[in-house]
Amino acid sequence: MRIKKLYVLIFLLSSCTIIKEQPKFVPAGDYTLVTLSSKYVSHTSTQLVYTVKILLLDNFLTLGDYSILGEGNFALSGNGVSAISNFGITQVNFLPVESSIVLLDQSGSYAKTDPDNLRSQLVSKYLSDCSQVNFFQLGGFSKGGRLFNEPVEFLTNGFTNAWQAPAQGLYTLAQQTGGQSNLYDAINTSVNSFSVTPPNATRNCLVLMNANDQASSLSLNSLLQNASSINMHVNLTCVDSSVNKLSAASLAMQTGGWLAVCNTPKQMVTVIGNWNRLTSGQATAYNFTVTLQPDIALSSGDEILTKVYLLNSSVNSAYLYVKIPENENAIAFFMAIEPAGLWSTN
Amino acid sequence: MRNVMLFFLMSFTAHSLFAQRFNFGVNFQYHVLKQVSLDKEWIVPSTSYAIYHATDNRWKFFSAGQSILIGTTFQLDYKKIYVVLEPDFNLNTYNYTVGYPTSPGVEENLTFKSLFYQIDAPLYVGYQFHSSSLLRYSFFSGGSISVPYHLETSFVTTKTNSGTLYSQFSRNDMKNILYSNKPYPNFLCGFAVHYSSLVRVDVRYIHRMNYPGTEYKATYNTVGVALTYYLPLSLLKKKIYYEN
Repeated sequence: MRIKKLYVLIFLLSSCTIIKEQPKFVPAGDYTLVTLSSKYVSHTSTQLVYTVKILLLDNFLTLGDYSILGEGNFALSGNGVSAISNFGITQVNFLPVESSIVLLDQSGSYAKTDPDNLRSQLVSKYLSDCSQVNFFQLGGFSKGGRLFNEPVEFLTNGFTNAWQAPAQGLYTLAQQTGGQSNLYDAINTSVNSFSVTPPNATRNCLVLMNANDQASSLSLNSLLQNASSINMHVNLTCVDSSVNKLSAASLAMQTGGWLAVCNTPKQMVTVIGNWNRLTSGQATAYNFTVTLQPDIALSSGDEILTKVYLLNSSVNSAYLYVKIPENENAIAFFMAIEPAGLWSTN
Repeated sequence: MRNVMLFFLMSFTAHSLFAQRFNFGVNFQYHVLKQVSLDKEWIVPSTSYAIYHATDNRWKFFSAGQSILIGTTFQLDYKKIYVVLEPDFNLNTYNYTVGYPTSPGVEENLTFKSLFYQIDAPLYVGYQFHSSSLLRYSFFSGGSISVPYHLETSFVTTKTNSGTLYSQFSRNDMKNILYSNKPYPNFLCGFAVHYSSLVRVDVRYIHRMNYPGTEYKATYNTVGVALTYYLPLSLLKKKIYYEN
């Protein structure tokens, strides 16, 4: 009798399952390279050395990062001959973010870069994810388009963690495209918005970029100074691969943010789907040192852009930006103090 | 609703004690005129992050879905009144088209399709108000219980979007909005033409009595045609009102 009771108990226990809430559906993505950092180490007139961290996002959001590639899978191209050394894999822990500002480029049209408006679903997912741990502001920007307010039309009244109403506003934004990009003015507006947050708070600006800046009154250099003054990090997701990579990479890298240049809507889906993890979670990145022997002699203040891509692959390219410091004192400064970044590494 | 159905069932049972004729037959039904309507303009599903624009709540022939029913008919007659119980198997489909905003003034049309295998059990009372030598005419009204037991969801695709629709949207987004797995009650009424005691043709209207979910009020109306063949069984035959 006891054995029969035991069999019944085992049967009941084996038939019990913990019912987990099904995750919500997200559109299909694709493998995507993201540049987390490229940091100056040293240079001479004929050689530049810098370290790089890049990420290969898996096409399935739940799988995180694709981290089994080796040094031989990567290739570099740019002005000169680049070589990879000290290749390895590292865990990156993004610093917890208290407040974020999300800016969506409403200039031009979604027709070429996102004809099915998948961005609205993914940004809605980000708002849902991040609202559990921090506050956010959401806005769209363009000049001379269909927005009612310029340079940024915010869908939220200040920082909030109530995400449902602004998430529905995303679909209204899809009907308000047009005009020219005023990217720098829009990001500068975020600088002002962050003034209400605590001084020591991690300040994150996530930008979805359709086109190069065309109509801003502020220059890139002025924006960089303003952003650096409040330690604001600009993370750029470019959905049009024809954007000016040098200025985009300069904006992201010099503020301590990351850069993704997407070729397809599916890659955009993957990047936005990982926004929450890339701002407050963990990642497994490839890190290596690049030694560049340029075609022309290097001098202080030069900006170097190098493309890194996967061999025999349709994955997008990542872009590495390095700016040679202006003078000898600056060199010592940059070598002694690591530029403010969003992460700590193990 | 349960009490109402219980009342009719008891009426059917009680009516059998006084019935003058009992008929048994098979029925075939085809419902093609349907209306699915939602009370809100914007739908936010719980299964994805999309949002849909509900704009098309019209009555439609075929394009809102079809229902094919086959089953049996148990009919008890007493003078001019008859009571019918019709357990049926129902292959029930509903199509509902929504818009998904993609650009200024442009929405991508998505048609969600739900297919149910379900058991329907209509129970209704009819009144024969006119007769001729061969034909009798009646109105009937009652209710039915629908018990779905198998569900399939899909999109209605075209050549241009068949390859991408399922990777961009969830076909289960209308769960607990347009459908659920729970049994539901219906109201039905109609007009019938009886040919002798062999055939009955009727046109019936069916209205779902509850909503699939709690947040959105989805209303279902159906109009269809039913054809009933009675088996030539002399069961419980007594003198009835139209015999001399």
